[in-house]
Amino acid sequence: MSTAVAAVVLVFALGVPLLNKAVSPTVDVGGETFTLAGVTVTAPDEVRMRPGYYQPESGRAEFLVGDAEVDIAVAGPYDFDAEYLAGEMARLLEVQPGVQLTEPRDCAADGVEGAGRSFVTETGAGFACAFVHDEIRAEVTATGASLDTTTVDRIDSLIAQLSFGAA
Amino acid sequence: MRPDPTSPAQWTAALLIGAAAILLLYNTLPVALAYPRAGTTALVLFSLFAVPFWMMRRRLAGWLTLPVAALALGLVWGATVAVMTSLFGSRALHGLLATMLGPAWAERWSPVLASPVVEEVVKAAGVVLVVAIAWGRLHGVLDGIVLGAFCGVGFQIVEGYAFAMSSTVLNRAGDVVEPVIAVFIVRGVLAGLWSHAIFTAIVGAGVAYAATRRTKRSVWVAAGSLAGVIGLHALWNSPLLRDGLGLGALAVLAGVMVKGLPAVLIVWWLVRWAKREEDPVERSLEAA
Repeated sequence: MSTAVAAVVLVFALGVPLLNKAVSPTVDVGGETFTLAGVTVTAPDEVRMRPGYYQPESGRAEFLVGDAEVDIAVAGPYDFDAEYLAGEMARLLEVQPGVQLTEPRDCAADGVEGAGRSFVTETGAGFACAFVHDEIRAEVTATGASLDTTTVDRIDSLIAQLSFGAA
Repeated sequence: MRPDPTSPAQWTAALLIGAAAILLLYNTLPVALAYPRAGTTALVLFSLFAVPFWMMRRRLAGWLTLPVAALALGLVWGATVAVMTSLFGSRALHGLLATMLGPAWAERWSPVLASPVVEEVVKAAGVVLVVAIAWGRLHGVLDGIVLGAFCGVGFQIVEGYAFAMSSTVLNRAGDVVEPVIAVFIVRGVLAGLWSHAIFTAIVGAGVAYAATRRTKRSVWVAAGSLAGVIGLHALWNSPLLRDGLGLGALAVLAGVMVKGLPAVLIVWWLVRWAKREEDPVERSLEAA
């Protein structure tokens, strides 16, 4: 009986996720446009994505740029500015195990200036960018084992494609 | 029910609960530290879910023989193993559906087709494991209903807490309690009754029926109860009547009732049936 119970748990906790990874390879989405709660983003060349990581109704998408994961979340209405939003993102980042905030960074979407923070983790580095425009907020969090200059430039190109409608 | 180092069922429960508890803490503690006011409020409010089911246990005490430790084990299983397994399993099934049928389709239908299967099966596995650990201590179907309810309420407390904290984080307005209270009103007051505790109580009735009757037919009844509950859960998660057919707030509330009440009525009927069909514990002991 206990073997059957353990098997059921392991099938759902490990088996199905492994199957999902095996049969759902990342796909090249370069040139494709994604709509997230009124904000659009067109992926630059060689940006990839796992199926299921684009949730248009929830306003979320996760892209793969090289080895880095770039998570974009859009929501609204939002009454605060980008600096406050970046502070809220930092609040959550700094309590994550092994994460240390470093210096602020510049972030720029299509015609909208944002506020950003860089951080290091036990296994790599990352940065967070916050944008607010017309009460719509967009959050970008990028993490990777090694964010080299080329990868960071490519992520910034992706962020630059974020378009807030009439922005 | 005492710790027995030679019991494979107890080892299975201990190892799985231990691993899931570590994962649960790893996932929830940082958010709780970042939003201490919201976290404390959510924990207190959603823990109130356990109160009506504790009262239910007291009211049915004359028919119950399962020790409190078994109910506590069911609750902890629901709060740890069931929650974490459902998180990984449902997310992966969502990914598989997105691969096969597209992201938009998966986002809409994964809560209907994936989550109910994973969540109900894993909670039912917990009920079966506790029954195996407390083998011979089960008096009848009411023991199973209460055990299932406790397993479900454990899941419901952690899930409600997670939804409330997720809402606080997504709100991005600081350590405030308003999003927690809003989620509690929706998930606790409007949807709290016909949720995991009630679903798993039905499965618990089926498992207890099979464990006490021990016939081929009773095993089919248990399997049927699980299948039925998956169907009820899928109906609850479905977009059906969610907008109240565009007829306003009262119609939305009516939609909630139509989708949620069948499970409550089934448990109500099961309790009445069990009290009619099964002797109270004292009378059973006298008869023996």
